[in-house]
Amino acid sequence: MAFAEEVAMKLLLQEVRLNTGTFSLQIDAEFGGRVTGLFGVSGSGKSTVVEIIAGLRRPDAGVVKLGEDVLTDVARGVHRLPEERGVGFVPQDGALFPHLSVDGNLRFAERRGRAVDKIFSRENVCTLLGIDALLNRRPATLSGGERQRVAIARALVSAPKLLLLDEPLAALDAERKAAILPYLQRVRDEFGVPVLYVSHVPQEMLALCDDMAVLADGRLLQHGPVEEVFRRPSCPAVARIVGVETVVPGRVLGGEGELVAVSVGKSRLVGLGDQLPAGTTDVLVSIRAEDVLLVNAGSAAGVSARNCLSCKVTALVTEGATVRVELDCGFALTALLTRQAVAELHLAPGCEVMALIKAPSVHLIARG
Amino acid sequence: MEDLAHVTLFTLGVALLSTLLILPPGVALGWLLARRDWPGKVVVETLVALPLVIPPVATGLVLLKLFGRRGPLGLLVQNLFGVEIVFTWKAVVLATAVMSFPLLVRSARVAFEEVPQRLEGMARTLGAGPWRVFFSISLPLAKRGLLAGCVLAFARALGEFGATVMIAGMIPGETITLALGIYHEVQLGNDDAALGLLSVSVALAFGAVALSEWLLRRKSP
Repeated sequence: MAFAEEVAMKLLLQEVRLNTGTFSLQIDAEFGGRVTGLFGVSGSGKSTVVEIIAGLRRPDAGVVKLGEDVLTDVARGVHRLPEERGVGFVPQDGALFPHLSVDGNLRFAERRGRAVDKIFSRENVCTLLGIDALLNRRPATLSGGERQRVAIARALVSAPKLLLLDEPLAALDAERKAAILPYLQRVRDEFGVPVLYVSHVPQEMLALCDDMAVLADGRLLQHGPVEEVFRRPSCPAVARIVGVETVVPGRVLGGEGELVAVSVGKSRLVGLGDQLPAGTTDVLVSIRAEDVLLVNAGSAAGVSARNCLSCKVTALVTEGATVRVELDCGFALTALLTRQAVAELHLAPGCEVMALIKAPSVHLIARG
Repeated sequence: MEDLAHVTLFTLGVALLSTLLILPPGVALGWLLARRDWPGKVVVETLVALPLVIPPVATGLVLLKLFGRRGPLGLLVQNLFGVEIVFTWKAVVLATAVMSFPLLVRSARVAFEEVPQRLEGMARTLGAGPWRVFFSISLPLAKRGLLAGCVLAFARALGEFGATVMIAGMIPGETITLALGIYHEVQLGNDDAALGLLSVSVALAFGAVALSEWLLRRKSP
């Protein structure tokens, strides 16, 4: 957290355009967070954006700036070579050099004859990513999770000014993903390198990113704090891609068995805690809007749902056949209802209602 | 017997020297064909492949016209180094080099094309310039294909006949290789000597093929 201010390195993409005949990218953005998420389904252009920033692909037009450094300025004929950019890149499969050992891979990336902050030394990076024991192994003998950690370590050893992680967890199963997330959080917190994190998995966005940008068909649809994007998609397309979710920070109060009680704002929620690492205190609580049931106040006696919250309707937003109902129940909660249901319940801003949420629909994500 | 040993060593030496000579340009051209687009690429590609498809004797004639005493390149070499090429051992090296060059270039091209381009891009983002990427990533990853190409070129050089006979003639003790020797002895009616040369040729060819198989099958390190 100490680096939060230091890392105010801004990545600027100014009217960047690329047309490949079958696909057109057009993007205008400024990323400033410690970890910015680039979210989109496959084919949305995420990898193209990453390749443009890394200098592996030339855009047809536009400017790319990292801090004060102009990396690309098509109009002025500037196109800095990938090796001059100081942009670390970790793709989905790690792209380790198969003919070199883990140590050889790391040594390849070391900046020779250039003074570099001790934090990027091989020893330090290996310790932080827990790969000390792997140094003599060949990439082919590593597990998927080990490979990704080595790939991240290799990028860090090159002392990058920006780290691009392109779906680094996509090739891993759920268990390995969970095992590697803490390392990513550690990279975020210890190295002070701003990260652009590309993924199509909402949970990863929530666990790692401060801001997120939603990309679809080569266009940026929405860009803002993660919680904001999940709660208030700016358009139906974003709502469809990311899903409408309430995301709020919470604090673990304690639990019995698999049920964990969490305080959120002025309310108390019960969720399933079997995915949480032991000793977690700070969590993000995420509730999909379609998992929230609304009933008229006072009529919710004897229900199975573990969470019954009395709340007040603050706004109604109609999106096609569904209505997004924004509620205040000690924290801001969003529910997704059909237009019919809204009419039958006579919902209007100011109404008092009860929100019912089953415990398994209260997703708890450890926030390190 | 002494002759047989001499001819064998001469042939091996010529094949080795010509392979070593074409290795740097062959690898460089293979890489340029695999990784770069440049004007005239198709023309160069065709020119390089030409010795594979036209009769070796025709290639030999072209070389003779170019490097002969009055040929443009022959004059150039004569003026620069005071060296004459045609009808000497150098002509044998030249002929075998030209004939095996296409095989090496094609192998090198395929070997480089099989190196994942994203690994080279990755190496660039890690701060390596194009030369370092070539020597530390592309070359080691293409190594097996390149070695196989070398063995192929070497084997081709061992058996070269048509181009060699045109530009180097059949001068005993000076330009006679195993392949030329076989023809020469048969012409003279010395079938026993021809059979001796033949058995050495077969043994060498067998060795070269076995070596290339071993190179290709050996587990990559």
